Amino acid sequence: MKSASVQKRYDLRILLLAVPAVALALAVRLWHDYGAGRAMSVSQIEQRGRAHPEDEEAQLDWGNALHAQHRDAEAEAALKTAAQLAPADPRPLNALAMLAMAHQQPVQALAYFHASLQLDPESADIWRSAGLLLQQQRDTGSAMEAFEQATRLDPKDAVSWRELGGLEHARNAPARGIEDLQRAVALAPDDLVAQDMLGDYALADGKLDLAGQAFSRALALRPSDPDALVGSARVTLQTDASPAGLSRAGKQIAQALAARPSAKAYLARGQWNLAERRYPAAVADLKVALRKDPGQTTAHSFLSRAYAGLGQAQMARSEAGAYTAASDAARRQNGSEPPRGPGR
Amino acid sequence: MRRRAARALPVLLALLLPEVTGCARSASSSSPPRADPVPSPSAPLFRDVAHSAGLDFRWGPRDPAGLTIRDMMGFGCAFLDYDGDGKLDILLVAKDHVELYRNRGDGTFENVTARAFPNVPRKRYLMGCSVCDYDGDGRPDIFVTGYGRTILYHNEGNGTFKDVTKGSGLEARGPYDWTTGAAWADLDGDGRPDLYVCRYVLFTPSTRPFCHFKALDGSDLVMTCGPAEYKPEIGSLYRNEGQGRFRDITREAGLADAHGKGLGCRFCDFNGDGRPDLFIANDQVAQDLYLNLGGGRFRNIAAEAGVAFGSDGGPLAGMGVDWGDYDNDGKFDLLVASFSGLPKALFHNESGTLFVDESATAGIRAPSLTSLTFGADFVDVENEGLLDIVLFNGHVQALIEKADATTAYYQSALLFHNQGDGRFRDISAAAGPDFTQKIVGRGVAVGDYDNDGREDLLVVNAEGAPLLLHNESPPRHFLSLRCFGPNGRSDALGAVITVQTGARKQMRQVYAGGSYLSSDAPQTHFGLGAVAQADRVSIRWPDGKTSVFSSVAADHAYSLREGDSRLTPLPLP
Repeated sequence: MKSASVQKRYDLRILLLAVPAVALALAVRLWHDYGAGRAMSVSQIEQRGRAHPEDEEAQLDWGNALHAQHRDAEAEAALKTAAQLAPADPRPLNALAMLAMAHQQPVQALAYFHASLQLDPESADIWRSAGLLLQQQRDTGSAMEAFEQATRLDPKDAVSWRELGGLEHARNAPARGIEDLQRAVALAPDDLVAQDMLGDYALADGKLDLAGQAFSRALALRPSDPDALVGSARVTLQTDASPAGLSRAGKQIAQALAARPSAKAYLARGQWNLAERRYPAAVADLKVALRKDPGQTTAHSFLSRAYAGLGQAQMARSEAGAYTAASDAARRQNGSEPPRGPGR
Repeated sequence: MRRRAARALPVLLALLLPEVTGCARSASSSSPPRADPVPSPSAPLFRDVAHSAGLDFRWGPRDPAGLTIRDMMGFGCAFLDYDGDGKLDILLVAKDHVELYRNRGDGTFENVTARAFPNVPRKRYLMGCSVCDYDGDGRPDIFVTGYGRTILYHNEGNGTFKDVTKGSGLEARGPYDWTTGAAWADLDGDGRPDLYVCRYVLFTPSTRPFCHFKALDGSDLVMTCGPAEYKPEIGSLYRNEGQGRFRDITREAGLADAHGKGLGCRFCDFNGDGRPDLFIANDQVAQDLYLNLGGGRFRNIAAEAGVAFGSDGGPLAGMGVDWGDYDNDGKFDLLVASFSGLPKALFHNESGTLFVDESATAGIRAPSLTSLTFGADFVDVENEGLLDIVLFNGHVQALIEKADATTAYYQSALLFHNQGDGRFRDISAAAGPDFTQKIVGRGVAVGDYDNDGREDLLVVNAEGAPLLLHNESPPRHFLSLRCFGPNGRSDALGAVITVQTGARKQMRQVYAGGSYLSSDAPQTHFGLGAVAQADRVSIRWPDGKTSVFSSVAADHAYSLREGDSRLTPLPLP
């Protein structure tokens, strides 16, 4: 449950951050790797494209240039022309896949990836992009396959290690997932998303030292990172429940809320208020957390404890029941999934 | 590279296309902080004497392949004085029989299994035990739990036990009926101990025994599934009807709404109303706390009491459980063991109806987080008048190292020393190498088997020999009491004893049962530290009467019957 909710958060972040970033990086790389990086201006590329409709390179360069300028309809036409001119060249197909991804057309994108990978199965970039897309489509098994291929082909592909780690952690290999995330942050120590993921997953597994280190690194990268602030506070709540520790955690959560008043931050403040035995405040925070994200099932169990503290037995029972029902529903939903981890 | 070889491209390609289309407090304490903090002793606090004492039984090692959830949950053990000679004997539950060791009184034990259980066929699967004189004849009887099998052994008084299960009402309900922990208490005040028996999950030939995990090297790892794979089974409350007959009153008593997957259970009058209440430790579902309403009725108040879930907001993987007043504030607190990565709960009793998990404040949460704990007990290891915490650990997956390099099947035990201010300190190292040896820890029983005034520990190592951890802490003053009901033969289950020395009041209860699958000695034990006598010993008997004794000399084991006007010291060894 816990891991699933963590995973859900990262799915969103991936959608917002990773896919466009990788798509852009891939497009740039394709452009450079496959010849478009020659010192030509965009207008020169366009002139060449118009002048040489039978030249695959010219059409490909033109299509990529158009895509970079967000002239996607024209880009698509040029790239399709390039693909027809050189059916054995994966580059136009890759570019078309990226274009489809940018347009939120996953079916089409995967069709292009499919065709491209048949021609060039050794491209880690394409496997990674396919993995991100599959992950976005919640096809976890295939996404993991794609990321595994990417990391096999390019063991320094930090993004693939990161995404693979996240998926494995949520499935039947939590320890392996943590290892992958550690590899990702070793390869890309500036990757804030990877640091936060490692922290959250390590925290979920009770590996507090590892979690604390990851959040510290994340905060060194970005002191106002709300996820790292919340994560760090949650580690403190487990390791140092002294007044000083609680005070430190409270300040971090307040900072996180100021930066981004997310469900996660409210949940953390609810937990912190529970630790401080400020039950009415805990109830208020946990209700906000649930309003912002009804999938935060642990808010129900925290609410149950808060109501218990307030002596409101019926509400405590009701929230405990809500937690159990939500957990059961999630279990039913994941019925075909492999177990979360050995013994779980 | 640890990654497996990439599969052939067509495999993934075949997967790709069709799949996308669907697309602060410091604990309030009425007792002062310990005035004389004990330095870590140079000598270990515990020494494993099992081998030299003659405990020659072994549970393992077993072939790690093919172990199902039924095989992984381990076994229990007990301290009991089956022959009434005043010396604690030892019971070990094996897979298909029980082993009984008689205490010779010289630090060694004699295996009397064949003599005590004559002509008993060996039959699987046994797990736990709970010792109690259910028929009031003054001799401890044994209830054994298991998978598809339960046994009620009646102590015949001639050194033998007789299987009286048939017709008792305590028979297993079928070949897949899986009972685990069990505890006794006189719930209706009729002088006859009633019995609660936990049930775990529905595990049958048609449920899948193994799940697939990914090993660290990427290979497929087939191991036992966890409890999430199986449907919960609900335990039963049996009313002792006398004449060796028990009746299942679960539903009418209001215990049918338990969450199931129970592994540990203990009775305790946590709200001081004179009626024994019941906590059931459930595995990865909400915990159950039943308040005894009187009149044979209970109500599950786990949620409103704040003990339904762990401090991280998720369910505990409840296994071993113990009640004890660790901060000497006159209210029983609750200790619940749990899985690795999950916090072990130390529920502080705030008001008699509300508990708050103080594991973080108390300092036990972080150090125990990576341990997978089964046996969990409060024990005053050094006779200081403060309950310490012992946790016995071991993973449930024999091959776990292949999937997680940061944990292990064999794990060390943990000893947390009560600092007297609501906080505990991990002094496992000081407990010695025998205590911290890596084992697959499961059941644990507490008792002073050599009557030296220090409580010893009997521990199940599911992959090896039992541990008999002899307490070798520096001598301090103590009191031991055995309280009997009015008949002078049966333990006064539910009696609450308070021992006052200066400003400190320690409280214990008389119970029958123990932490994970096990049963503790019947005596109640009090460490008095440097104080050579208790100012006051008061006993609140199950019927509400009280007895009070003043200026009780320390360093004795006393026997007391309800109504006695004086404490009777038992002869020291």
